[in-house]
Amino acid sequence: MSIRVPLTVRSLPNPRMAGVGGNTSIMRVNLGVAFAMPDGRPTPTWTASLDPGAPFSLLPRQLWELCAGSVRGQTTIRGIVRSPEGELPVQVGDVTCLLTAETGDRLALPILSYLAYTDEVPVLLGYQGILTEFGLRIDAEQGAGFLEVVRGS
Amino acid sequence: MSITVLHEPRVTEQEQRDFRWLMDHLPDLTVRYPDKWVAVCNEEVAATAAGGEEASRLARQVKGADSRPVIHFVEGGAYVY
Repeated sequence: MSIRVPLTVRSLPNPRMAGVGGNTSIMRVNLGVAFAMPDGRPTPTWTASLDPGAPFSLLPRQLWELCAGSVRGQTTIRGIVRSPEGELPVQVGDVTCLLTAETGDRLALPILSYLAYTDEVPVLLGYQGILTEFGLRIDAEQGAGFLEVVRGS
Repeated sequence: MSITVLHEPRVTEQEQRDFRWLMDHLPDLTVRYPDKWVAVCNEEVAATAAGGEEASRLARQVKGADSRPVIHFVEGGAYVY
């Protein structure tokens, strides 16, 4: 039995590269995601970008304050800027991610996530716990894709 | 395998419609609300704010306490994560 989670692929305008020729649009792979709160109810739906280049998922403060389970520790994460000014301090904690299958069922996955101290970050779904469980198919031309897991009958 | 299928509570039809509306209007939102959080409810932007939960709270004030707005961060440019 195959379970699929629909993905949306969108091409977005890139005003910061307006003077550059060619196709400078920004491609993003998005999905709706919720997280289990301590009483088991789901948070509202937040959109997330699927980021296979991110080792772990990342949640802004106002989201993980609703749903975080145990916090394992703290660390800092860096992007393309390696200097200390580019570091983002985060906590590392366990959350239960709720993806929406194409059937409308929710799929609960416990994942280890970076928990930012700021709201100035988007919701990113990274590799660990997501792409370790699902296969990924993206068709940019169709503007769609899916995560897929095949389970035994 | 650590995936559990939950048959309840399902995502509401309105949440699914709001998510689709949001995805269909992302290019316009990128121009109108760069680097803002938006809360979409009943297929329109109900609130914007500096934080997602704040946008959701403002949207529920407008649309009703039982509403479940879909929350999205509008990227204002090509961020590399």
